[in-house]
Amino acid sequence: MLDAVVAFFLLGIISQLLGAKLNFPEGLYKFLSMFLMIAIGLKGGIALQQHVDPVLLPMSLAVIAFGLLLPLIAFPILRYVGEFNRIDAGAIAAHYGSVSVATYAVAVSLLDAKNIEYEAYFPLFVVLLEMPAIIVGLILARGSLASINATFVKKELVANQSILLMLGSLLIAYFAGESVNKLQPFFIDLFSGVLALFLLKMGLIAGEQLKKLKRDSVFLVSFGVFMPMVGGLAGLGLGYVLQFSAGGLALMAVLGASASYIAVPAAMKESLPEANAGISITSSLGISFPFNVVFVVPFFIALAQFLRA
Amino acid sequence: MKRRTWLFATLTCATLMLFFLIGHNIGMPGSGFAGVALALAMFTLVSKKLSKRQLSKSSSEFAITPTKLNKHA
Repeated sequence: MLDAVVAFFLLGIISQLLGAKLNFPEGLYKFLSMFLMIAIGLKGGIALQQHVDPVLLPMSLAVIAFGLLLPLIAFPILRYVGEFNRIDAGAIAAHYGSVSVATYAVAVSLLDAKNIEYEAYFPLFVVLLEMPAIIVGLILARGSLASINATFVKKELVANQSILLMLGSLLIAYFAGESVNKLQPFFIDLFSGVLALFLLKMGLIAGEQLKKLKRDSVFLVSFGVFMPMVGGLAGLGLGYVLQFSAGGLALMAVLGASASYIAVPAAMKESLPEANAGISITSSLGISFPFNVVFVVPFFIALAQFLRA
Repeated sequence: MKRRTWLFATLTCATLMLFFLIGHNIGMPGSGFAGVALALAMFTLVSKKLSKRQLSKSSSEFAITPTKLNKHA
Protein backbone atom coordinates (compact mmCIF):
# COMPACT_ATOMS: atom_id res chain seq x y z
CA MET A 1 0.00 0.00 0.00
CA LEU A 2 1.17 3.54 -0.82
CA ASP A 3 2.44 5.52 2.17
CA ALA A 4 0.35 8.65 2.86
CA VAL A 5 3.44 10.87 3.25
CA VAL A 6 4.97 9.67 -0.04
CA ALA A 7 1.56 10.14 -1.74
CA PHE A 8 1.91 13.90 -1.21
CA PHE A 9 5.12 13.84 -3.22
CA LEU A 10 3.34 12.10 -6.10
CA LEU A 11 0.51 14.65 -5.82
CA GLY A 12 3.08 17.43 -6.26
CA ILE A 13 4.63 15.80 -9.36
CA ILE A 14 1.24 15.10 -10.96
CA SER A 15 0.01 18.65 -10.25
CA GLN A 16 3.11 20.12 -11.87
CA LEU A 17 2.94 17.84 -14.91
CA LEU A 18 -0.75 18.68 -15.37
CA GLY A 19 0.12 22.37 -15.20
CA ALA A 20 -1.97 23.06 -12.07
CA LYS A 21 -0.91 26.16 -10.21
CA LEU A 22 -0.34 25.34 -6.56
CA ASN A 23 0.83 28.53 -4.91
CA PHE A 24 3.35 27.55 -2.29
CA PRO A 25 4.69 30.51 -0.27
CA GLU A 26 8.43 30.91 -0.95
CA GLY A 27 9.52 31.33 2.67
CA LEU A 28 7.53 28.28 3.76
CA TYR A 29 9.80 25.87 1.86
CA LYS A 30 12.86 27.17 3.73
CA PHE A 31 10.97 26.99 7.01
CA LEU A 32 9.92 23.38 6.38
CA SER A 33 13.45 22.28 5.48
CA MET A 34 14.78 23.97 8.65
CA PHE A 35 12.06 22.27 10.70
CA LEU A 36 13.00 18.84 9.32
CA MET A 37 16.72 19.33 9.98
CA ILE A 38 16.08 20.45 13.57
CA ALA A 39 13.58 17.62 14.14
CA ILE A 40 16.03 15.00 12.81
CA GLY A 41 18.82 16.40 14.99
CA LEU A 42 16.58 16.47 18.09
CA LYS A 43 15.35 12.92 17.48
CA GLY A 44 18.96 11.74 17.23
CA GLY A 45 20.02 13.66 20.35
CA ILE A 46 17.11 12.32 22.43
CA ALA A 47 17.88 8.76 21.37
CA LEU A 48 21.60 9.30 21.88
CA GLN A 49 21.00 10.26 25.54
CA GLN A 50 20.18 6.61 26.17
CA HIS A 51 22.78 4.92 23.95
CA VAL A 52 26.24 6.40 23.84
CA ASP A 53 28.46 3.76 22.32
CA PRO A 54 32.29 3.73 22.27
CA VAL A 55 32.18 2.02 18.85
CA LEU A 56 30.75 5.24 17.43
CA LEU A 57 34.21 6.60 16.58
CA PRO A 58 35.37 3.76 14.27
CA MET A 59 31.86 3.67 12.79
CA SER A 60 32.02 7.40 12.04
CA LEU A 61 35.41 6.95 10.35
CA ALA A 62 33.96 4.16 8.19
CA VAL A 63 31.01 6.39 7.26
CA ILE A 64 33.36 9.25 6.27
CA ALA A 65 35.38 6.82 4.13
CA PHE A 66 32.10 5.75 2.51
CA GLY A 67 31.34 9.41 1.73
CA LEU A 68 34.76 9.74 0.07
CA LEU A 69 34.21 6.58 -2.01
CA LEU A 70 30.81 7.42 -3.59
CA PRO A 71 31.99 10.34 -5.80
CA LEU A 72 34.89 8.15 -6.94
CA ILE A 73 32.34 5.65 -8.30
CA ALA A 74 30.20 8.34 -9.96
CA PHE A 75 33.03 10.36 -11.53
CA PRO A 76 34.39 7.79 -14.06
CA ILE A 77 30.84 6.95 -15.22
CA LEU A 78 30.09 10.63 -15.80
CA ARG A 79 33.44 11.32 -17.42
CA TYR A 80 33.86 8.30 -19.69
CA VAL A 81 30.29 7.11 -20.36
CA GLY A 82 28.44 10.42 -20.13
CA GLU A 83 31.40 12.27 -21.68
CA PHE A 84 30.99 15.26 -19.36
CA ASN A 85 33.90 17.65 -18.92
CA ARG A 86 35.97 17.36 -15.73
CA ILE A 87 34.23 20.29 -13.99
CA ASP A 88 30.66 19.08 -14.55
CA ALA A 89 31.56 15.45 -13.79
CA GLY A 90 33.19 16.51 -10.49
CA ALA A 91 30.20 18.67 -9.53
CA ILE A 92 27.61 15.94 -10.27
CA ALA A 93 29.77 13.33 -8.49
CA ALA A 94 29.80 15.55 -5.38
CA HIS A 95 25.97 15.64 -5.42
CA TYR A 96 25.81 11.82 -5.49
CA GLY A 97 28.42 11.38 -2.75
CA SER A 98 26.56 13.65 -0.37
CA VAL A 99 23.15 12.91 1.18
CA SER A 100 19.58 14.15 0.94
CA VAL A 101 17.99 15.01 4.28
CA ALA A 102 14.49 14.71 2.76
CA THR A 103 15.13 11.16 1.50
CA TYR A 104 16.47 10.27 4.93
CA ALA A 105 13.35 11.81 6.53
CA VAL A 106 11.11 9.71 4.25
CA ALA A 107 13.01 6.56 5.26
CA VAL A 108 12.72 7.44 8.98
CA SER A 109 9.01 8.12 8.56
CA LEU A 110 8.44 4.75 6.83
CA LEU A 111 10.51 2.90 9.47
CA ASP A 112 8.53 4.59 12.26
CA ALA A 113 5.24 3.70 10.55
CA LYS A 114 6.32 0.06 10.35
CA ASN A 115 7.72 0.04 13.91
CA ILE A 116 11.17 -1.00 12.70
CA GLU A 117 13.92 0.05 15.11
CA TYR A 118 17.14 1.73 13.99
CA GLU A 119 20.33 2.97 15.64
CA ALA A 120 20.04 6.33 17.45
CA TYR A 121 23.19 7.86 16.00
CA PHE A 122 22.07 8.05 12.35
CA PRO A 123 21.56 11.85 12.34
CA LEU A 124 25.26 12.06 13.16
CA PHE A 125 26.04 9.98 10.06
CA VAL A 126 23.84 12.26 7.95
CA VAL A 127 25.93 15.21 9.11
CA LEU A 128 29.21 13.33 8.55
CA LEU A 129 28.23 12.39 5.00
CA GLU A 130 27.49 15.97 3.89
CA MET A 131 31.07 17.18 3.69
CA PRO A 132 33.52 14.54 2.30
CA ALA A 133 31.83 14.31 -1.10
CA ILE A 134 32.08 18.08 -1.62
CA ILE A 135 35.83 17.92 -1.03
CA VAL A 136 36.34 14.87 -3.29
CA GLY A 137 34.13 16.41 -6.01
CA LEU A 138 36.18 19.59 -5.95
CA ILE A 139 39.47 17.70 -6.12
CA LEU A 140 38.17 15.63 -9.05
CA ALA A 141 36.87 18.72 -10.85
CA ARG A 142 40.03 20.78 -10.34
CA GLY A 143 42.41 17.87 -10.72
CA SER A 144 44.46 19.11 -7.76
CA LEU A 145 44.34 19.67 -4.01
CA ALA A 146 45.10 23.40 -4.38
CA SER A 147 41.55 24.60 -3.70
CA ILE A 148 41.19 22.58 -0.48
CA ASN A 149 42.60 24.43 2.50
CA ALA A 150 41.63 25.26 6.06
CA THR A 151 39.78 28.44 5.01
CA PHE A 152 37.67 26.46 2.55
CA VAL A 153 36.73 23.80 5.14
CA LYS A 154 35.87 26.45 7.75
CA LYS A 155 33.78 28.43 5.23
CA GLU A 156 31.88 25.32 4.14
CA LEU A 157 31.21 24.22 7.73
CA VAL A 158 29.89 27.63 8.72
CA ALA A 159 27.92 28.20 5.51
CA ASN A 160 26.41 24.72 5.46
CA GLN A 161 22.98 25.19 7.03
CA SER A 162 22.15 21.49 7.30
CA ILE A 163 25.38 20.62 9.15
CA LEU A 164 24.89 23.50 11.58
CA LEU A 165 21.21 22.83 12.27
CA MET A 166 21.35 19.05 12.53
CA LEU A 167 24.56 18.86 14.56
CA GLY A 168 23.48 21.82 16.70
CA SER A 169 20.06 20.36 17.55
CA LEU A 170 21.57 16.90 18.12
CA LEU A 171 23.94 18.41 20.72
CA ILE A 172 21.15 20.53 22.25
CA ALA A 173 18.93 17.45 22.70
CA TYR A 174 21.85 15.43 24.06
CA PHE A 175 22.93 17.98 26.67
CA ALA A 176 19.51 19.48 27.53
CA GLY A 177 18.36 16.36 29.38
CA GLU A 178 14.68 16.30 30.42
CA SER A 179 14.00 19.87 29.28
CA VAL A 180 14.07 18.75 25.63
CA ASN A 181 10.68 17.12 26.22
CA LYS A 182 9.13 20.61 25.97
CA LEU A 183 10.02 20.65 22.27
CA GLN A 184 8.56 17.23 21.49
CA PRO A 185 4.93 18.28 20.74
CA PHE A 186 6.12 20.68 18.04
CA PHE A 187 9.18 19.02 16.50
CA ILE A 188 8.53 15.31 16.98
CA ASP A 189 4.73 14.91 16.97
CA LEU A 190 4.23 17.13 13.90
CA PHE A 191 7.12 15.52 11.98
CA SER A 192 5.03 13.43 9.52
CA GLY A 193 2.61 16.26 8.73
CA VAL A 194 5.41 18.72 8.03
CA LEU A 195 7.23 16.10 5.95
CA ALA A 196 4.07 15.60 3.85
CA LEU A 197 3.86 19.34 3.20
CA PHE A 198 7.59 19.48 2.38
CA LEU A 199 7.25 16.54 -0.02
CA LEU A 200 4.34 18.23 -1.78
CA LYS A 201 6.65 21.15 -2.52
CA MET A 202 9.47 18.78 -3.50
CA GLY A 203 7.06 17.05 -5.90
CA LEU A 204 6.29 20.39 -7.53
CA ILE A 205 10.02 21.13 -7.95
CA ALA A 206 10.78 17.59 -9.21
CA GLY A 207 7.93 17.86 -11.73
CA GLU A 208 9.38 21.14 -12.98
CA GLN A 209 12.81 19.49 -13.37
CA LEU A 210 11.27 16.53 -15.22
CA LYS A 211 9.70 18.95 -17.73
CA LYS A 212 13.17 20.34 -18.43
CA LEU A 213 14.52 16.94 -19.44
CA LYS A 214 15.42 17.02 -23.11
CA ARG A 215 14.75 14.21 -25.52
CA ASP A 216 18.43 13.26 -25.67
CA SER A 217 18.95 12.95 -21.93
CA VAL A 218 19.03 9.14 -21.91
CA PHE A 219 22.37 9.12 -20.12
CA LEU A 220 21.23 11.52 -17.40
CA VAL A 221 18.07 9.49 -16.71
CA SER A 222 20.08 6.24 -16.68
CA PHE A 223 22.68 7.75 -14.36
CA GLY A 224 20.01 9.17 -12.05
CA VAL A 225 18.55 5.68 -11.68
CA PHE A 226 21.79 3.65 -11.74
CA MET A 227 23.72 5.59 -9.10
CA PRO A 228 21.11 5.26 -6.29
CA MET A 229 21.02 1.48 -6.84
CA VAL A 230 24.83 1.18 -6.70
CA GLY A 231 25.15 3.63 -3.78
CA GLY A 232 22.33 1.87 -1.95
CA LEU A 233 23.96 -1.53 -2.34
CA ALA A 234 27.30 -0.10 -1.15
CA GLY A 235 25.53 1.42 1.87
CA LEU A 236 23.79 -1.85 2.60
CA GLY A 237 27.17 -3.62 2.44
CA LEU A 238 28.70 -1.13 4.87
CA GLY A 239 25.73 -1.48 7.22
CA TYR A 240 26.11 -5.25 7.10
CA VAL A 241 29.83 -5.02 7.98
CA LEU A 242 29.05 -2.59 10.84
CA GLN A 243 26.36 -5.03 12.05
CA PHE A 244 23.44 -2.61 12.05
CA SER A 245 19.88 -3.65 12.84
CA ALA A 246 17.27 -3.98 10.03
CA GLY A 247 16.36 -0.29 10.34
CA GLY A 248 20.03 0.72 10.44
CA LEU A 249 20.79 -1.35 7.32
CA ALA A 250 17.93 0.33 5.46
CA LEU A 251 18.99 3.82 6.58
CA MET A 252 22.63 3.23 5.60
CA ALA A 253 21.48 2.04 2.16
CA VAL A 254 19.22 5.09 1.80
CA LEU A 255 22.10 7.41 2.74
CA GLY A 256 24.23 5.75 0.06
CA ALA A 257 21.45 6.00 -2.51
CA SER A 258 20.42 9.60 -1.90
CA ALA A 259 21.86 12.61 -3.68
CA SER A 260 22.11 16.10 -2.27
CA TYR A 261 20.18 19.01 -3.79
CA ILE A 262 20.40 21.63 -1.05
CA ALA A 263 23.84 21.63 0.57
CA VAL A 264 26.02 20.61 -2.40
CA PRO A 265 24.49 22.99 -5.01
CA ALA A 266 25.12 25.87 -2.60
CA ALA A 267 28.71 24.74 -2.02
CA MET A 268 29.34 24.20 -5.75
CA LYS A 269 27.95 27.62 -6.59
CA GLU A 270 30.62 29.10 -4.34
CA SER A 271 33.58 26.84 -5.05
CA LEU A 272 32.91 25.71 -8.64
CA PRO A 273 30.90 28.50 -10.29
CA GLU A 274 31.81 27.38 -13.83
CA ALA A 275 29.98 24.02 -13.36
CA ASN A 276 26.56 23.63 -14.99
CA ALA A 277 24.26 23.63 -11.95
CA GLY A 278 21.17 22.78 -14.05
CA ILE A 279 22.44 19.29 -14.98
CA SER A 280 23.25 18.37 -11.38
CA ILE A 281 19.88 19.58 -10.04
CA THR A 282 17.89 17.90 -12.83
CA SER A 283 19.68 14.64 -12.18
CA SER A 284 19.59 14.65 -8.37
CA LEU A 285 16.21 16.31 -7.82
CA GLY A 286 14.31 15.51 -11.02
CA ILE A 287 15.35 11.87 -11.39
CA SER A 288 17.09 10.37 -8.35
CA PHE A 289 14.93 11.94 -5.64
CA PRO A 290 11.56 10.68 -7.05
CA PHE A 291 13.13 7.30 -7.81
CA ASN A 292 14.49 7.07 -4.26
CA VAL A 293 11.23 8.11 -2.59
CA VAL A 294 8.99 5.86 -4.66
CA PHE A 295 11.15 2.78 -5.13
CA VAL A 296 14.61 2.74 -3.46
CA VAL A 297 13.51 3.52 0.13
CA PRO A 298 10.74 0.84 0.29
CA PHE A 299 13.02 -1.63 -1.54
CA PHE A 300 15.92 -1.31 0.91
CA ILE A 301 13.57 -1.42 3.91
CA ALA A 302 12.11 -4.69 2.57
CA LEU A 303 15.60 -6.05 1.75
CA ALA A 304 16.99 -5.09 5.18
CA GLN A 305 14.05 -6.78 6.91
CA PHE A 306 14.61 -9.87 4.78
CA LEU A 307 18.34 -9.96 5.60
CA ARG A 308 17.77 -9.52 9.35
CA ALA A 309 14.77 -11.87 9.56
CA MET B 1 22.75 8.14 -29.46
CA LYS B 2 26.27 6.97 -28.73
CA ARG B 3 26.99 3.30 -28.26
CA ARG B 4 28.35 3.76 -24.71
CA THR B 5 25.23 5.64 -23.63
CA TRP B 6 23.02 2.97 -25.12
CA LEU B 7 24.94 0.20 -23.35
CA PHE B 8 24.80 2.10 -20.06
CA ALA B 9 21.04 2.62 -20.41
CA THR B 10 20.61 -1.11 -21.07
CA LEU B 11 22.76 -1.97 -18.03
CA THR B 12 20.65 0.39 -15.90
CA CYS B 13 17.39 -1.19 -17.11
CA ALA B 14 18.76 -4.69 -16.49
CA THR B 15 19.87 -3.73 -12.95
CA LEU B 16 16.51 -2.12 -12.28
CA MET B 17 14.68 -5.22 -13.43
CA LEU B 18 16.89 -7.32 -11.18
CA PHE B 19 15.94 -5.05 -8.27
CA PHE B 20 12.24 -5.44 -9.11
CA LEU B 21 12.69 -9.20 -9.30
CA ILE B 22 14.38 -9.25 -5.87
CA GLY B 23 11.67 -6.89 -4.53
CA HIS B 24 8.96 -9.20 -5.81
CA ASN B 25 10.60 -12.20 -4.13
CA ILE B 26 11.13 -10.53 -0.75
CA GLY B 27 7.51 -9.40 -0.62
CA MET B 28 7.87 -5.73 -1.56
CA PRO B 29 4.37 -4.58 -2.48
CA GLY B 30 3.80 -3.33 -6.02
CA SER B 31 7.18 -4.44 -7.37
CA GLY B 32 5.70 -7.11 -9.65
CA PHE B 33 3.45 -4.62 -11.43
CA ALA B 34 6.23 -2.02 -11.63
CA GLY B 35 8.60 -4.65 -13.07
CA VAL B 36 6.15 -5.56 -15.82
CA ALA B 37 5.60 -1.85 -16.62
CA LEU B 38 9.34 -1.30 -16.80
CA ALA B 39 9.86 -4.35 -19.00
CA LEU B 40 7.18 -3.03 -21.39
CA ALA B 41 8.76 0.43 -21.44
CA MET B 42 12.19 -1.08 -22.12
CA PHE B 43 10.79 -3.29 -24.89
CA THR B 44 9.15 -0.25 -26.54
CA LEU B 45 12.39 1.75 -26.30
CA VAL B 46 14.55 -1.04 -27.75
CA SER B 47 12.13 -1.80 -30.57
CA LYS B 48 11.91 1.91 -31.47
CA LYS B 49 15.68 2.16 -31.49
CA LEU B 50 16.01 -0.94 -33.66
CA SER B 51 13.36 0.19 -36.13
CA LYS B 52 15.08 3.60 -36.40
CA ARG B 53 18.39 1.88 -37.13
CA GLN B 54 16.79 -0.39 -39.73
CA LEU B 55 15.07 2.59 -41.34
CA SER B 56 18.28 4.60 -41.58
CA LYS B 57 20.12 1.51 -42.90
CA SER B 58 17.54 0.77 -45.60
CA SER B 59 17.22 4.43 -46.58
CA SER B 60 21.00 4.63 -47.04
CA GLU B 61 20.88 1.47 -49.16
CA PHE B 62 18.16 2.81 -51.47
CA ALA B 63 19.25 6.42 -51.54
CA ILE B 64 20.48 7.79 -54.86
CA THR B 65 23.96 8.85 -54.02
CA PRO B 66 26.38 10.67 -56.39
CA THR B 67 28.50 7.50 -56.65
CA LYS B 68 25.48 5.43 -57.69
CA LEU B 69 24.55 8.06 -60.27
CA ASN B 70 28.10 8.06 -61.60
CA LYS B 71 27.98 4.27 -61.95
CA HIS B 72 24.78 4.48 -64.02
CA ALA B 73 26.25 7.24 -66.15
